[in-house]
Amino acid sequence: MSIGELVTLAHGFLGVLLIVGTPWAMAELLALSSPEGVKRLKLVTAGLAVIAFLVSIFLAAPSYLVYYPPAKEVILKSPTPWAHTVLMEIKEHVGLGGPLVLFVVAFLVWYYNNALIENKDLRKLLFALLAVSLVVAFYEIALGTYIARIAPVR
Amino acid sequence: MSRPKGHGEIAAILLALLVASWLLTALVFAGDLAPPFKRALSATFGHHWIGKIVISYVVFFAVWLGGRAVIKERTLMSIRGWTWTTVLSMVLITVLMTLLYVGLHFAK
Repeated sequence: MSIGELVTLAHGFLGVLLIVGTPWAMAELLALSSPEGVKRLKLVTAGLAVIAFLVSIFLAAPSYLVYYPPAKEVILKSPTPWAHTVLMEIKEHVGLGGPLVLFVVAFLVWYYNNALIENKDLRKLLFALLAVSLVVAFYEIALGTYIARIAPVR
Repeated sequence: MSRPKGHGEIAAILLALLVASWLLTALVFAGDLAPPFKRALSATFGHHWIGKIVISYVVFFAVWLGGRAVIKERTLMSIRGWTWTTVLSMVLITVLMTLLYVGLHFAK
């Protein structure tokens, strides 16, 4: 397995972890009633924020800037060049806000701490931000899966 | 006993998120509709994609840290208002970016 494949595999794998971890955080928010629950929520949201930065910036950068260009050439010469000109262009930009959204969620959870248990409006805000992140993560995974089917990174 | 935490932090960080997200959207549109701007980003940051990240993330932290000092305990709007404004912005930004590239594809 080449380094390019390894980096891109890690990018996709951590993207899937985001999709698994975000509903976990949403479930913790819905069931939040004790300081123990807040502790778990703090760990999950901090983990999600770190993973989001890894996926969208630190793994996406080498994957997209270094290892993707040869695949891009293949896609542009294929019968479906729009897999790059439309799908990849959307994918490379839509995901950039994700780490910020999950950082905001993690910060607010850590800052308000046990006060979250009594603050229903704040829990709704956090739930909504996580829901939007989840939808965008699904969108990104779907785009990436289709692009990789046409020309996987080597 | 510590003082209860107000909602100023929510306003400061969500304002920063909104400003950075819409700025990123503006940079994406400007980059693809005005090629000289995209070339300038590439020349300055090595790649236009990196330029967009650096500018929007620096603005996020600047607005957030500045907002924490200025906004303090003011909330600017209710938490419910922040929820709707932020969620609708995120959805609209995703739709706009999608329409941009679909539109550019058919415009060629």
